[in-house]
Amino acid sequence: MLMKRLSSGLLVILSVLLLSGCWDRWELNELSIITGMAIDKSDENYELTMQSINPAEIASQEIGNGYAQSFNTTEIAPTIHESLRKHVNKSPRRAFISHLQVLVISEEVAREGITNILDFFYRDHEVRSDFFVLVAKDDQRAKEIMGIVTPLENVPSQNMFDSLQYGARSYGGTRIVTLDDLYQDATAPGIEPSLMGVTVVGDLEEGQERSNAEKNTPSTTLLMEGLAIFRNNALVGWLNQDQSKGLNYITGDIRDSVGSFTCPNSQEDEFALESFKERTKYDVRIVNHKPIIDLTVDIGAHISEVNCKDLDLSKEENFYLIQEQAEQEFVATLQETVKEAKAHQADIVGFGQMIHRKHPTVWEQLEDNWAEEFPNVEVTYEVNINITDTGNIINSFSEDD
Amino acid sequence: MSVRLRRRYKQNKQPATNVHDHISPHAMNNFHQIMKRTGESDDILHRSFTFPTTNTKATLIYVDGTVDSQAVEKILSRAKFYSSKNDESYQSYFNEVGTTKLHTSIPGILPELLSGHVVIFIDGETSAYSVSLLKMSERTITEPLTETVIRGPREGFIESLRVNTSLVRRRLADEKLRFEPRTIGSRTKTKINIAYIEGIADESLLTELRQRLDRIETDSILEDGNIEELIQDATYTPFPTVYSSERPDTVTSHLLEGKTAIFVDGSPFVLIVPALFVQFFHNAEDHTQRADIASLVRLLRFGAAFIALLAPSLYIAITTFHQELIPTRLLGNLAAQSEGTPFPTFIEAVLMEITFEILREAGIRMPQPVGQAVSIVGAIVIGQAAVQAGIFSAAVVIVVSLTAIASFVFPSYSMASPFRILRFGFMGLAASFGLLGISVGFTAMLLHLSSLKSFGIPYMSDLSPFVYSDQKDALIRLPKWMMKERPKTTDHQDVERQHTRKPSPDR
Repeated sequence: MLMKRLSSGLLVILSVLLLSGCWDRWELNELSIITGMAIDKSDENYELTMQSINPAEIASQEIGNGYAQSFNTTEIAPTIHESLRKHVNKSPRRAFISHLQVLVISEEVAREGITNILDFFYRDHEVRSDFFVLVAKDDQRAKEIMGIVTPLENVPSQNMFDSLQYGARSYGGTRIVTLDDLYQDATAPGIEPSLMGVTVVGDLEEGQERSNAEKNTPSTTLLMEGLAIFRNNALVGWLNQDQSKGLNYITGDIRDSVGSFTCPNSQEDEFALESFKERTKYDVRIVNHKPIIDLTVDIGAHISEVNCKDLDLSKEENFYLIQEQAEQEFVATLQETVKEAKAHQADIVGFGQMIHRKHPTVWEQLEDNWAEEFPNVEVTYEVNINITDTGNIINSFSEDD
Repeated sequence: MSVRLRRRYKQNKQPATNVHDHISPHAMNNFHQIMKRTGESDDILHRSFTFPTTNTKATLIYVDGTVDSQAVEKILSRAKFYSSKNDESYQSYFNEVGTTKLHTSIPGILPELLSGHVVIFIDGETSAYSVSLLKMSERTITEPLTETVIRGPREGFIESLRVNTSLVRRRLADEKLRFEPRTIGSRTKTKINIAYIEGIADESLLTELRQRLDRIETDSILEDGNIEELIQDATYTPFPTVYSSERPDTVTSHLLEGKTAIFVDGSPFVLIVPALFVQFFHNAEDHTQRADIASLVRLLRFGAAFIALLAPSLYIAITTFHQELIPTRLLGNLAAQSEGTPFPTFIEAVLMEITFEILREAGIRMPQPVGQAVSIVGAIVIGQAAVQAGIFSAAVVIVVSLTAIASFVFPSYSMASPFRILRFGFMGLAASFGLLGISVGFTAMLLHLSSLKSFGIPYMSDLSPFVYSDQKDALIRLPKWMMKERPKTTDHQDVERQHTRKPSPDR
């Protein structure tokens, strides 16, 4: 009896273990870990460039041969998924895209619209939605961006990923847009997506060489700059770096940043503020059946550099002068940002959403015509800068002393 | 030739027909009778002497090495002062040397003789006296080899039942402490003591334990493990449901919590029932160290148990099924290590684990001077050569080493074994089904654990069924003054333990 029970139990366990056959098991050395993807246009089809890391070369152990740390393959197929699976035709391993870190879309493709290409990334189960989406600026081919070898981080996709990640924490001129964010901005009413731009600075040919990474001053680098503005999921224009920063201030996506401002007592000299705290509040008023948006940006900052002549920072009133000057210039930046967005009829800030949240009934009337209505929306700005500190010294040293 | 041998063998057997049970009035006849029964065993000695006052001859028989020889001499030397006129019976006379019992048949005498009694036959008497003079050479009390502590008593049990009970009695001078004797094993006649504190220990549990012990029908009990296997609740489980300890202080503290201990003569381990799952993660040191560090160390042990059980299987599952769970840079490093390794991760891990188990077994069985050689070879084989030869990836070596170290954290060796066994099962599940397999396996293990009982008490007690008040000494240990009551799972009577208030200076 017992033997019968034991043996039947064993039979069940064995058949479950053996019949299932580990069907979706992939060993690490059977996978090609793809960290970057680039999409270009090729006649009718999409040209998909996949960048996979070469584990032996990036490991800290000395097991590599000193070959390139990543390698790129390009496939052309009517759909992205097919291109992806065709990767194995050129590589000894299966493409594995859960660790995708950046997706670079060429400007040409972006102008035509990104809806088609994003479908695969939303749909596939292997894709994690936390990678960054960028647009290759200045008519640069996305494929070429994936080939630039730079010092410190030899894998271009990792380079872009880190640059964006740490940039958001120290300067704020870049904007992190993950696939998740993109999905929300692209599908929600009352907001349009914006994507970070990337381009190549320097000679393209030299940038592909490994010698580029061996130099003190590399002749070619990648540059994260500008923000692509989308309308109806197609690229319509660009914001420059200051305007991107302005957008980050308006949406509250900035953590730590530095800005230069003109001195209150002389037009030629400048001082710098380092902001460490930022909070944006908004309110929507309806005046004469028209929405007016009040933006209030509270910034905590300290003085990090002063080149102003004869400005005595030990006096309280000078503090206020500085604050006032900075506030004015801040408002100007924010205005610039909104002006540029309005010029393209692309509501990247999400004013539509603000109206929707505060006055749903008003939004119902505006919703259908929002692209046309958006440029007419009046926006007021209030920037409050609270300077708490002057750094390690109070006054700048001058020749008089 | 063989026929003749057999005949001689038969002839040797011949005297057996003269065996009789009654005690002869001739003392020497009885000695011969005993020698016949014991096959002229070399270790059975006799001394003949006379009581001068009555001129009665007597024979004293004992097993050499089991009795106190000085006491034997005392009996012999005092015989000349014996006087029947004082109305003194032989029994009360022998009683002055050692506990004396009267026997009327040879079969009744033999077990006594063989377990440290001196047997005296007196001419003209049809009964015999056995005087208990047990004195065997025994190991001195040393520090326990398992369950070592940094702070705490260094005494460990030894192979002598009496010494072991005395070690507990010394810590528990309570009149309610009971040692209930039993003799089990038709041939070994092993002495066993059931220890408990009356009024604290559960009566129904005691009855159950007595029944289970009485049900044992075997010829031999060699040590406590034999008893454990014969009285445990469930055989088809890797988990131990009887706790064994080498430490008198541990046994004492369990007795005070209403548990029952079983002392087995010849074994330096004492069994404690009922045994709960969490108890195997407790250590005597938990109560000698401060409560804060004791609690943290306990949590660490539970953490280590998880590592010992699941680390290799999690590694297999994550690297072969769920690569997306690994941070990108770590994945790069792991992938680099698996470059060029010929085996799948599962095979690698299993081979490494088996290698480790072999080394571990070798380390235990090896004579001590050679032990070091094993560890050196092991370190070289596992650590260096295997990785450099490209057979195993370094990450697997790290995982297996971590598992090995974690499995040594168990305070109780018997609880480490189920985790060793199940580890391989989990590795199989991980290799076939990934994390899904592990979670199914883990659930099955939890269900199994919850179904176990130790002497009627749920094995996972304190945790499931959850007893709030017993959490004071389960996963963590609260300060002593907070434990005002005995654990509720094992004790239902005389609940209160102390009234000590929170210590603080007088205000």
